[in-house]
Amino acid sequence: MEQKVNELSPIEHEIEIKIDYQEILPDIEKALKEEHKKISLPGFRKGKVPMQMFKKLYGEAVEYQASEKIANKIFWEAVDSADSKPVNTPQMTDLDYKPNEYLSFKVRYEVKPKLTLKDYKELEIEKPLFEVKEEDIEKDLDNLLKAHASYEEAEIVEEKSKIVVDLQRLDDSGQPVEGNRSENMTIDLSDERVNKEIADNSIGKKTGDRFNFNFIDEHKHGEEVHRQEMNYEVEIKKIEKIIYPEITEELVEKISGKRAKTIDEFKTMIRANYEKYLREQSENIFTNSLLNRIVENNNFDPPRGFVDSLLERFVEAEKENAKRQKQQVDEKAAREYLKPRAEWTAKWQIIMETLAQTEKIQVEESELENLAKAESEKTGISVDKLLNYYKSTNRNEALLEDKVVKFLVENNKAVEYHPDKKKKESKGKKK
Amino acid sequence: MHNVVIRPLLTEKMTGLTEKKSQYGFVVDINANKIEIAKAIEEKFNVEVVAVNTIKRKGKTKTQFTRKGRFSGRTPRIKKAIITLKEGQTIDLFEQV
Repeated sequence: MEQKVNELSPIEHEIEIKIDYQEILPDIEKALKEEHKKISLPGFRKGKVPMQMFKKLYGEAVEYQASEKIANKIFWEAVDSADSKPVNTPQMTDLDYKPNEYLSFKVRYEVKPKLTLKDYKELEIEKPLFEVKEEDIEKDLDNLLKAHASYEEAEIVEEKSKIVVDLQRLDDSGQPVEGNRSENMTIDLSDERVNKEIADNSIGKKTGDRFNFNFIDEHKHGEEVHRQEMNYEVEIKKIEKIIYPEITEELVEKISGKRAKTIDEFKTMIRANYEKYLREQSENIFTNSLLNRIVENNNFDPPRGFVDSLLERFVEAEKENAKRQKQQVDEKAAREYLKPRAEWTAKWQIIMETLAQTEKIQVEESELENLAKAESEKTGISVDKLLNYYKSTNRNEALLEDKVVKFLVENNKAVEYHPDKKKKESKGKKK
Repeated sequence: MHNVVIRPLLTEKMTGLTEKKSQYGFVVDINANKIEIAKAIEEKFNVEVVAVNTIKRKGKTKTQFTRKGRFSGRTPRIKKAIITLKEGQTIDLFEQV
């Protein structure tokens, strides 16, 4: 077998292979046998046509068909032993098969470029330090208590009341618009999503009182933004006042899932959860900023085919997701907004692999085994099954990425800051 | 008489007979007799024929009902000849395929 790799560009290679007929003869024979099983002719049952006759009738066609499959197989064998593997679907450009003589072909494919990485260590990256605010805890507690609250009829609308109203749209002259009336609508004024004007204008009103509010509908038609101002008249028909439940040990146990007994204990629990969540957010922001900076510092054109295959994967995932939520997905639009993500991922993937090679970061077989053992203890699935699953789903690639990210986090510096203070400072500067 | 031998009879059964008993099957002219068949085979394939067995298959009546009425016809009668060759001799029928 003669084999030659031509480097067309740093990201495009072409392999030329010429192989003797004798070397592919076993594969040709195998293909003939396979095809022979499927053929039936008048006078013969399926698969019982004499081989000599079959070869005479279909031999050449079968051989040509098989040559393409054989070329494919030989190509992957050749490429597996080479160090640069294709990142897109390879294109066979030239296939020449001469029965009893040789098989030759050329395949063009994209490879990951060889990078020399720079500026990926000792960088200074901002890391926000979020603080838990007392009002967040109170809001959380309020929401939890509201689920156990009751309502009683009242005369005057208060801040957290529930009101039942009739809603009538008015035209510019203040006259009711026909067909634009909704009756007996319940509005919970404690809900943050309720139009602020409704909440402000209704407080202090009594049953039977009326008030007006404006609603601005802003939406896009393609690139064009449509803005429509609508005026409504509201008539209050019923007012209900919220009665919070008495905070007892029993209630606290109920809403905390028996993890707290007193309200203070419960608040400490909410605070701890918030702190954990905000710490994770802060870590994620730091890691994302760090990776973005490293990709920026080592920018390059990723192989088109690799980006396309990633984009295809993302679009498929988007479609799957939409299907699960019983929604329609605009594939063209999805392709458009997922494109930058696919490009970034392609760059990061190549940088990550180069970094792992440069810094000699590897995933050992024992690490996968340890992971499988830990998972097996939790789920009860056998270690062997988990190991097979990990291998088939390229889990070691995910592990390698985790290790590289860990290495980067350890070798770069986080510059911590308080986002609220920074906001105040920037406002002060503007003034 | 033109073309005594019409075509070789290539079937699974005939292939078995060829392998086991060195017998070959042909569709031959309906009016040809065994002597004529043996002579025609010997001339055509340059072999020595030991025996000729013949079978005549009657044609069948086939009826077709269409919108224009009933059509009747017949499938042709054929004569098959099973030729036994002298030991060691062969005919490459697949050359003819």
